[in-house]
Amino acid sequence: MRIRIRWGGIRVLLIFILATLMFAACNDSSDDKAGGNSTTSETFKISVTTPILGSLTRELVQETAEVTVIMPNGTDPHSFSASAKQVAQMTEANLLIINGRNLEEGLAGAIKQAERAGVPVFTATDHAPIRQNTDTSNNSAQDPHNSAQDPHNSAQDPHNSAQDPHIWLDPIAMKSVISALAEELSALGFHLSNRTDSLLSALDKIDAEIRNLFANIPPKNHVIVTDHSSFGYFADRYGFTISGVLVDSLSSQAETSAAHLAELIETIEEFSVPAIFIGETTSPALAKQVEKETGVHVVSIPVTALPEDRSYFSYIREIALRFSENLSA
Amino acid sequence: MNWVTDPFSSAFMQRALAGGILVSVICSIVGTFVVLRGLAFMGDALAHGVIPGIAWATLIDAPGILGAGIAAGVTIFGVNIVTRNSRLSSDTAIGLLFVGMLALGVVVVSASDNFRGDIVNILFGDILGLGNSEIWTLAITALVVAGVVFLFHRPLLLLSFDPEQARTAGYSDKVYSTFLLFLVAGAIIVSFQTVGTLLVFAMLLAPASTGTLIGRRISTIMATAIVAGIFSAFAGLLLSFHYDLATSASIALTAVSLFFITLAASSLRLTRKHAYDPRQGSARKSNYV
Repeated sequence: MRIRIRWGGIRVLLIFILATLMFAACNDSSDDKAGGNSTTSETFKISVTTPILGSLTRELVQETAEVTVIMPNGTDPHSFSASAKQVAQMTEANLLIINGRNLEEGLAGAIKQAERAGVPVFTATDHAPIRQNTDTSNNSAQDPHNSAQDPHNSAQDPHNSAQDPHIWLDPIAMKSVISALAEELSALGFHLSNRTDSLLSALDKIDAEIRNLFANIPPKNHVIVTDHSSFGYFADRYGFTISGVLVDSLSSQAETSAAHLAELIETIEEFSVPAIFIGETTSPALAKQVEKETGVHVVSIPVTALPEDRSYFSYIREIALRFSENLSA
Repeated sequence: MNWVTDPFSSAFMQRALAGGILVSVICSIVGTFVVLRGLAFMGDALAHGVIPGIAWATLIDAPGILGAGIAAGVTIFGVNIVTRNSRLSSDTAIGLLFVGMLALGVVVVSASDNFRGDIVNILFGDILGLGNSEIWTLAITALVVAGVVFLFHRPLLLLSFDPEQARTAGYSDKVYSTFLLFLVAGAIIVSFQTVGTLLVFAMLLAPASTGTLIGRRISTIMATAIVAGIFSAFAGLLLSFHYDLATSASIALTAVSLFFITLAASSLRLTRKHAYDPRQGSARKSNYV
């Protein structure tokens, strides 16, 4: 019994493998550094991951730079992943602006590629105090001053997964982000004249407007329930207490447990919580279940979607209006 | 400028192509035996069985490959235990392990307060995010897999076509079956970060199936599978780049489409009688060995 095999195929295969090996080896030195600085003579290109950061960046640079937003408006930033063309845009930008703190989970690889290509990366959450996701299921009120943390400490510990990325819901935190971004841009040789100051005062103005709007919410209605912990910064800034969350995770990707839901229903009844605020990326089925059980009102909030005029200010005003409509007596 | 070469001008696309080619080579070699031995369901179970391991590794910041390896070992071991200690058929055993491991993966993700790794990334991979170290891992694995298959080609070949003859020749069915399963597990483990656990399965099956439509000899089947796999990686990346499609899904879809196109073409030309028919594999062994 003899076996005859033609090894021609195997030889072809080994040649393929060696060819790809050499290909990979050549990649080490070739294109990697071409992206960052080769386009200085052309328009300054800024790539931004989220539409909300994109809107503020556009307000800041106006038409003097080309701003490309990677995620479509209203998409779930936790699960979005970029197409090949978008990764190409990111690796060819003069500056990449990301939110950070694991918000762009699906973009992690693409961001790494941009870093490898030598593109400077500006991380918004590195430039403002970061909330820790304290245990939200134990009914304890959160003190914003305790949970806030020195941004430099938190930046050194990217593996601490309990950091809340939803910083854009706090206009005052966005002021520090914008100041830092303006510094970064001028360090890259991009001049903003007085646009930084006007954007900062616009953020102050919208903050005052929101406080005014919330002035007539009765104190007992300052206890709210949200979806996952996306409203932490907003609640801290405007004096709300989040007494419970539907999904006990900072990411919209996790599932909830039966025990957690039962506890949440108890909390809602105990505090007679008037409304549950959920982001548009959260499945409303769970919230509806709680609504049926307790009679609490479910309010959908566009957390990741800008309104039609694509303005951050209309966006944050809209959210404030929904809160005040549903909580004012 | 150039529709075919232009997209590969950036470094990340070159790395994606290199990764795709290497995954195709690994999966085609191993996939040939998967198809010939009818191990598709076991391959599927392994592709999903690694998920709890990857999730667990991500939680404790261990390398994903380690977690995937442990989980694959548990899956193979579990299937063996069930088939040996009960009268259940092996596909029931495989199904039990498959669904059990998948459920365990979701439980691990939910039990953590903040799951950092993205479960979507585990399923669909991140071929656009490949770095040089991942490419090297794939390249070394490709060499190891090719070397091991070369060394053990005789028992693997006999087992694929005629288990009985293999036994008379002194090769233990059990030993080499397990050995083959570990090869499959290895291919899945190194490929999951490139094309994802869901789609690595497509690369295991589709190119090798295309190979069986064209070739009679195992070397021809394997070589055809490699060519089909590499073409799928290349075409899938191009399609994804130009039409903004999901990258790894485009590659898998190209591979599966290629199979159906070949099937249609070979049916038309009635060349099937020359090609390998898995249902009659052992009956027509003299054609292959």
